[in-house]
Amino acid sequence: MPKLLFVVHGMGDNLPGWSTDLVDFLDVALSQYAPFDVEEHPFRDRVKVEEICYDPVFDKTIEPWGREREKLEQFARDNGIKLDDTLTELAVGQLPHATTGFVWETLLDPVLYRGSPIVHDNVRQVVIKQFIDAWDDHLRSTPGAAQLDVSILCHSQGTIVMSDVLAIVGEARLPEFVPFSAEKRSIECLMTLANVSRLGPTPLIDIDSLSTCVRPQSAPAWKDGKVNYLKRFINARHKFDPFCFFQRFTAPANWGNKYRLIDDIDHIHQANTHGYTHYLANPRVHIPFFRAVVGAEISEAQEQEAIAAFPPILPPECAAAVATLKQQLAAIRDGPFQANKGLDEWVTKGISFFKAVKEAVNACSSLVEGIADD
Amino acid sequence: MRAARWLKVSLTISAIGATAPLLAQGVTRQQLKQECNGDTLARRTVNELGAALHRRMPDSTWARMVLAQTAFDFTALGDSVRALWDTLSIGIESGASQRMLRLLERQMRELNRLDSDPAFLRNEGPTARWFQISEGQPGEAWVINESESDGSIGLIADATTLATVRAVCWTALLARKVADFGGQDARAQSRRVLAARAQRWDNFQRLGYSLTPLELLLNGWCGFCRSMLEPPRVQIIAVHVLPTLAVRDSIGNRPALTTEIAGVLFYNSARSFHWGFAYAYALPTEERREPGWVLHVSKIGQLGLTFRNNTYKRENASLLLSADLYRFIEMWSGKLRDERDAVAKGIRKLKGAVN
Repeated sequence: MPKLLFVVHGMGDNLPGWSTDLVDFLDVALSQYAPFDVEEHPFRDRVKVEEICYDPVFDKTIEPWGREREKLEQFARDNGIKLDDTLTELAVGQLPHATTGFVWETLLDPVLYRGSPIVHDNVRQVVIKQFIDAWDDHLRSTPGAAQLDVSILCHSQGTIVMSDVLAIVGEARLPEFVPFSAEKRSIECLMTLANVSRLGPTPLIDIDSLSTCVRPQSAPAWKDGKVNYLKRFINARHKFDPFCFFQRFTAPANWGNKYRLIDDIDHIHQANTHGYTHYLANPRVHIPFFRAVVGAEISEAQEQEAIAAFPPILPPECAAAVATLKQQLAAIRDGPFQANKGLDEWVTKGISFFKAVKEAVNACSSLVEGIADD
Repeated sequence: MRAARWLKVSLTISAIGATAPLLAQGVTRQQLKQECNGDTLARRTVNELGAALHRRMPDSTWARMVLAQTAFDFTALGDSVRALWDTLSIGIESGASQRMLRLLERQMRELNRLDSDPAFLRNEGPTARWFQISEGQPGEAWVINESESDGSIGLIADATTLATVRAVCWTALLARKVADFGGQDARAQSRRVLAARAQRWDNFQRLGYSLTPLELLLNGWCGFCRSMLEPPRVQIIAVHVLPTLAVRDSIGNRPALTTEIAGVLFYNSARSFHWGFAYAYALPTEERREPGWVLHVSKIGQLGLTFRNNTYKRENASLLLSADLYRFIEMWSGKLRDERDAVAKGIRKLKGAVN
C-alpha cells in the first residue's frame, strides 16, 4: 500500500527543506537490515515523505520586534529624543534587542505557542493546511484501488503541534475538517519522539493531549459514540532527555496494545540527548518505527542483534564527560518543577540543559554537540 | 465439525469483544499481503489469477466503473461494488460475510445520500475508514474497519480461507476507492476554506498593524477579537510606540516618538483593510508629552492630533504624521512635483519649437 509519512520538526531553526537530512538518516538506518541492505534508498523508495514546516510563523512573529526596536532607537538618536521617559521606556523596553540565540530561536518557541493563542492558531492553521493539502493530493494521485496509509513522525514541540492539530481535524472542531476527521478516515501510526504535548501551566493548555481522539483504536473511545483517530501510537522517551519528563505524557494503562511506550533508551551519542536523529539512531526506536510505517519485516533476531551491537556511549573516550553529563541531566530531570509555572521552568531548565551540553563538549571535544539538530 | 468451528469463533468474539478472527484452512501471511495490499495485488498477472478473476481485481473493476461512468451516479458505483462482492463471496465464512454486508449497506446509504443531498456531497462525503485495511505486523491479524470493535473483520494468517480473504479485501479496496472518489468534492471544499483562511493570515501579517509582545498576549486572550484559527478581526492597541512627525503652525515641525496608550482597530473580513483609533502621548524633541488621539487608516499610516500643555486650543495643537504616512505624502508630493516638472518642461519645449 502506498505509504505517506508526514515528518514534523521540533523547536529551533527549521526552514523549508529541513527534512532532507532526516530522510537521508532514515535511509541509512533502514539499510542496516537485510533485505534492505542492498538498496541505496530503502526508506524513501517505500515511503512518500511530506515535511511539515511551521517555524517561519515564529520567525515572522519574533524577528520584527528586534528590527522595530533598532528602528525606534535609531530614530530617537537621530532626532535627539531621549528614551528614558517612563511611558516610552515601557513601550520600547518590551521589544527585545536581539532575537537570535538558543533562547530566542529554540526555547521560546513553546513559550510563544502556549502563551499566545494568536501564535498557536497561526501555527495550527499553517500545519493543518500543509497536512490536508498533501493528504488530499496523495489521495487523488494514488493509482487504481491502492490504499493510502498515512503516518506521522514528530519530535519535541512538533508533538504539541501535531497533538493539537490532529485533535482539531480528527474531532472536526470546525465543519471544514469533517472529510478528514476520525469519523471518515484514520491515521495508520503516530510516532512521537520526546513528547512534550502536556507542557505548560494548565490554564494555558487549551487542548489536553490525553483527552482527545488522538489515541489508538485499542484505547477506550475518546467520547461516547465516537471513534479514535489512530491505529497505532508509538511514544519514545529518552531517559536523559529532561524535556519530556517535566510534564510527562503518560497514557493510561487501558490504551491497549496499539499504544507503545519506548522508555528504555539511554544511549549518549551526542551531548544533546533531545535531538531528533539521536532518538532515531537507537534500534529500540527505529525498528518499531520501520515496522509500523514502512511495513518492514525486521525479525526479532535482527532486532536483538542490532540492540546488542548498539553502543551505549559514543565516542567511548568521552565516557567520563558523558557520566558527568548524565548526572547533570538527571538532576535537571528530577529537580523540582512547578507545573503552574511550566513555561518559566521550561526556559530555566532549558538554559541549564544548554550549559550542561556545552560543558560536556568542552570536557571532551570529540563528543558531538548536536544542538543544531534540534 | 462446522458447528464446533462456529462455536469457537463465537467464543473468541465474545472473549475479546472485538475483531472476529475467522478460523479455517488458512492463507499464508504472504498470501494475505498478495490479496490485501493494493500495490502488491495490482502487480498480479492474468497468468497467476486466470482471466475471469483478473478481470474482477479491484483495479480492473475500478477502471471499468470509471469508463462506464457518464455522470456522477454514486448509487451505480455502490451497485458495482455490491456486484463484485456477490461474485466473490460465494461460499465464504459467514461471520465475515455478514459484517461485510453490513458495511456495504451502510456505504450504500451514504452513496444514495451523495446523489440526493448536495450538502452531504459538498461538506462531508462518505466514510472511508469502514473499508480501511490495517496491515498486521507478524503475529497480528489484518483488520478491516479496525475503528469499530463490533464491526471489524479480522483476517488471520494460517486461519482465514483464501476465498474469504479475497472477497473481503478486494471488495474493501474497491469500496474504499469509491469512498475516496465520493469524498473529492468535500475535500476540495475543505481546501478552499483553508486557502481562504491562509490568505486572511497573509493579509493580516502583510497589511495589518504590527503586534508588540504585550499586544500579542492581550489580543491572543481577547475572546471577542477573533474566532478559532482566524487572525484578529478586532485588534487591541496597547503601549505601542511609533516614530512620527509633529507638524505645528507656531513653533515649527518636530520629530516625535508617539506612544499609543490604548486603542482599537477593526479589520474587514479579508483582513486586507483596517481602521481604528488610539489615545496617545507624543514625545517630541523638547521632551514634553502631548496627549491626543491617533487615527489609523490601514497601511496608509497614522494621523494624530495632540495638544501641548494639556490645553486643547488650536494654537497648541500638533498634527502627527506617522513615518508611513509621511513617506506616503512625500511619495505623492514627489510624484506630483515630477508631473508638474514634466508638464513645465513640455511647455518650454513647445514654446521653443514655436519660437
